[in-house]
Amino acid sequence: MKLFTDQGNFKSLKVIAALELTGLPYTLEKCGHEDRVVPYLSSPSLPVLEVSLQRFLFSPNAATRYILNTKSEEDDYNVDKWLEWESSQLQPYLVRYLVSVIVHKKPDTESLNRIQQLLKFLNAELKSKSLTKIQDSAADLVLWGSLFPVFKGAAEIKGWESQYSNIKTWFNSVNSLPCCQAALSKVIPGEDTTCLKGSLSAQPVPLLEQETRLEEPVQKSKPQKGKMEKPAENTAAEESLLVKEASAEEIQTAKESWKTGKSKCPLPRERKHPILPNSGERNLLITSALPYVNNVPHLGNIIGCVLSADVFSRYCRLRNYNCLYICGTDEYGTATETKAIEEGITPREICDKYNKIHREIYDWFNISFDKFGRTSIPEQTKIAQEIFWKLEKNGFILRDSIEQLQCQKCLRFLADRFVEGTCPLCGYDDARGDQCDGCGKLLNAIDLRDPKCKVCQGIPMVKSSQHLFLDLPKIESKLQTHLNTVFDKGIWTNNARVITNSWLRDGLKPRCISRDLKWGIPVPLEGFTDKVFYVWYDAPIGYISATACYTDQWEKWWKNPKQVELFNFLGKDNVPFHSVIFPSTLLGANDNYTVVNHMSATEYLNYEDTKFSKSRGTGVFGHMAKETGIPADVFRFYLLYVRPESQDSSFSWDDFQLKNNSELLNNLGNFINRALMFVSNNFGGEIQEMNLTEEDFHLLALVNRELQTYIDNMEQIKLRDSIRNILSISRLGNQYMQANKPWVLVKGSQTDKTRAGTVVSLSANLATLLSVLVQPYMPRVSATIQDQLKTPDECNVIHRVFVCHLPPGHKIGKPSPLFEKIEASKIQEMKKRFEGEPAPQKSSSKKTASGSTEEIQKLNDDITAQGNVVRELKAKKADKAVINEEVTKLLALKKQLTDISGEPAPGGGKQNSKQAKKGGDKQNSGQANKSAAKENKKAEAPAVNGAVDSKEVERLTEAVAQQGLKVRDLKSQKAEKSQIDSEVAVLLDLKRQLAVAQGQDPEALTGGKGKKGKKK
Amino acid sequence: MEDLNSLASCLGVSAGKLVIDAKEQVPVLKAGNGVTVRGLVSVAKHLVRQSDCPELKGRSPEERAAIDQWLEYRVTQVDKSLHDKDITTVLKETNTYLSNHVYFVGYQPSIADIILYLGLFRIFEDLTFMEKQKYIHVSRWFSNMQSHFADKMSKKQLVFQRNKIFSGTSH
Repeated sequence: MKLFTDQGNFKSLKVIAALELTGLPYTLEKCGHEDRVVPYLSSPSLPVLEVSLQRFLFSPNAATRYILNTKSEEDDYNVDKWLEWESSQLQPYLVRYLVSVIVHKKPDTESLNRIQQLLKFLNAELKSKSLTKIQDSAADLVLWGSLFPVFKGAAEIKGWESQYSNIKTWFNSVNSLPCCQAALSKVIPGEDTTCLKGSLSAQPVPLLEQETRLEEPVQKSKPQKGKMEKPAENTAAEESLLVKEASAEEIQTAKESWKTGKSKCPLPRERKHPILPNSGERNLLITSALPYVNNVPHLGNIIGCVLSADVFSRYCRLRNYNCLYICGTDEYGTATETKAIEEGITPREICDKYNKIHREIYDWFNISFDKFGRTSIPEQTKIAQEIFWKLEKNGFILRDSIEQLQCQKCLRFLADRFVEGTCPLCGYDDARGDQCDGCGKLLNAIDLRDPKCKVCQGIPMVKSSQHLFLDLPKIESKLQTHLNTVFDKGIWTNNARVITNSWLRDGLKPRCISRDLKWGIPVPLEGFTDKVFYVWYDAPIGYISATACYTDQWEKWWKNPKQVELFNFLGKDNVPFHSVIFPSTLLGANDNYTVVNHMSATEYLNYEDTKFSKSRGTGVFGHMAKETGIPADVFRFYLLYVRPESQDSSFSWDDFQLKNNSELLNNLGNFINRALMFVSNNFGGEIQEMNLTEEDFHLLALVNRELQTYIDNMEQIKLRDSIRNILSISRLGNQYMQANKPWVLVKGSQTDKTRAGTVVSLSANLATLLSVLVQPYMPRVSATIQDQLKTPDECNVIHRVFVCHLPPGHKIGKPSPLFEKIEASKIQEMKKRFEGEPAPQKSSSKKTASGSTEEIQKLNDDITAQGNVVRELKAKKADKAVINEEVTKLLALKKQLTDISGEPAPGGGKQNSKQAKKGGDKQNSGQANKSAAKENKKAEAPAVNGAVDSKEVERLTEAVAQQGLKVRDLKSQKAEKSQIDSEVAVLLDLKRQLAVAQGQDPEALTGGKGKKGKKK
Repeated sequence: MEDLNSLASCLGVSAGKLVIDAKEQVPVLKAGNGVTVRGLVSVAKHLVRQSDCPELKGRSPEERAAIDQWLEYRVTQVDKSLHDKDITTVLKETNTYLSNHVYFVGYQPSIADIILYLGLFRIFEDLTFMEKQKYIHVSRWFSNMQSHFADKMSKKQLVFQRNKIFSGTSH
């Protein structure tokens, strides 16, 4: 038997213990945390027991029991019970708890509470000293293996031994079994449970039953349903907030910080450029992946790197960290050169033009770079060449020849994108050298049939050319050492780890770093001077050169790994370049460079249900966001609210509207405006004396709790979670106002009036806190609030506890609403504007490949022939019904051609049925109707797309009703039977279509008469 | 709970005193003689033991272990999949698995098939024809299972299209 497991997976304890106990021969197959062993499962859940070739037990519990049963089989209901209890009840909370303690170092108290309840149950059941009647059963080993990490080592639940004495006796006796000790030495050597970290963070977390999953992105495949649920969710959250208990300690802390006030709160630090690292404090160097210059960034690009890094760096500034935020445009490479040729200008002019566009977009989004550079500058050339020379000197540069196409006319080697030809795989005749647009496969330029130079249409020849390679295998061990340290200490998103590990697992290969282009950094090495560096070799060096443009003391940032922490923000597609190639380059140069410590990689953002597409004009692109008239801060807020942190998420206008109206307007904006209006209208804009009651301190304790989570989330770069904390605070504020009703108090006695003063003044102070917390997300809104409150500058610091920044007597300014409601009509307009052309259906593109030219030719001939038939009939003024029949045939043929060739032929489905309705002759027109409707259905089926398409359903319901009326009319007029029959056939087909669109069974709906109109 | 009653009537055994533990939301069977069985899977297996259909238990230790794991799959995956994303995962996994298996374990229906059929019923009820066609293998299995068991368990027969009506979704 073979057991597949990853390093430090506690779930393999029980299986190994069982194997050891039975003494069966087995092999232990070590695999990576993310390896998928079982082909049919989509999650990489480990361990997995391979019983015999390709027969897997993916449930460790079933595996444990199976192993024990090979010696003597039991079929005990108590074993069933405990295994089921462990897998369905204990494990979901146990894993969550272990992840929270060992990975995030922040115990999840909710899970702990549940575990305590479950342990209580176990303790009560253990009265008879053993779980089952069987000695050392699967139940014993399974429970021992799961409970070990919470009973020993880093994640130990304190005091469990005294609380659960029955468990203690049982556990100790199982734990002392030799088989268990042997399993421990293999999985958790030295009983140090911190070694479980890697496996815990990578392995899937078991599902929970009723979980309000906050991290779930606001995606929905069934929009109607989603909308209905959301308001309910909000009210549920609202009800629970103020009822939450704060502990006595939390209340005590709130009291103290209220009393000591601002004295313990640090003053904001003045940022004086140039900012340089200081010894003895945290120095953060924050970079956002360099956007490629001639792509106009869309919202997905913006949230992917620049905006995320901006929020983080603004937060760091508010925490008084010494930080620097660097970005720029990446300008070299093939794409720019191609674009320049297309537009007939020089690459330099292209870059100047697009660099400006980028700057304007980021300005509008209010991205606060400390320096926004570009790669086509002399500093870049100097540093890139300098690093190259170091690599060369240290022996990390290899020379090798590769086969490449050279154009005979232009006399130059052609980059992949400069070659066009016929795809060797699918025969598509306009394939590019790197990829075929017909079949989507990646290609090698030299494999293309009939290759042509894109520039001059000349025929290129295969020639071998010498190139330079970065010897990654030689640097690999150095890189591995570095990554081991930073994976352990740094903050790396899961996808960044996984992608990096998958690169390393297969072993690194030398990588070509030179290209035969003109637009790039010249390779300085003799014999290669006609080449330039590969864009991915030099792009990350852009961070360094941008810093060099910012300050001539850039080496203090970039050659200072001991004092500087480097944070990379990027989209997941850029991970290998930042985690493998660029670090290898820097480590190979061996010049004490600062190498990445933390990496935050986002997943992709989709637009509505599809992808952003420049060519189809789908989705909001940077420069268009401004034209929507919606403030940049609302875009920033929504993008961060749906930031694709753990999985792809999507930008949806409906959700955008909902979030703006419910969260910004009704929650945050409402609270701040209400508090300020009250101070302004009833107390002359002056903050009142605040005499806090126990209830008020309770509120502050809850606010502190959210504030601390906000900070913890931010430190872990969980930008999406921190937004929820802000919204929770303002929700608390709203409920506080609602509970105290200052608008009633203010009309009451003097005591009541004083109380009202306390409530609104405390609320104004909460608004001050909110203005600081929203600053990273919505800088302009923050400034507006602070202007209305006339807050002192020293409030702009994020402190771990709430302090009072607006003392009694402080005068506030004039309040005004912060957010505007977004109307449904506006959303409709936006949807329409950014919808773009419809994406090509996959089915039709498949058909393109299948439709041979002969078939198309035949259909074309048929259409011509049928067209002549129709014309002849019309000329002869033949019976209308006959003509109609022939027309329908013609349309069907045209439809077939569309399906097969992917090209539109005139005449669509609607016209089809309209023609058919006019039918007169019974038999013939019935036939025509049927085929026409069938064509209709075929065309509409893909649009159903899994979910019920409400618009389509609406349209069809309307059509059915209309047609029904028509039939009734005809019947009442005692019209000709043939005419009625044909109309009935139309009606039945409409009903069928409606059924399909609604996802119901069409056969079940059309009974009785319907059979007439159908085959079968 | 309802599933277990269906199962009991199908097997022709008495479900005895079946109650739901209010705190944990777990079915508990008081089978008499002081025997208390907890948990959906445990009760289901217990009912099979009482019945005269031993073939449902699996015919070798290996089959029995495989049955155990699919029963666990029902309580840890199927029952806990409430979000669209998780439901899709369950459908994908079972569909891929059943692309080369007739039943979940072995060559005849087992308790694993019955319990998964009952568990997936909720999910299949909500599927559109298009989705049923997309997960064609698990749909085939489901349709097969309901022809065996739906009547015995007084479950509604869900409708499956016999011919492919949607283009571009087949494998």
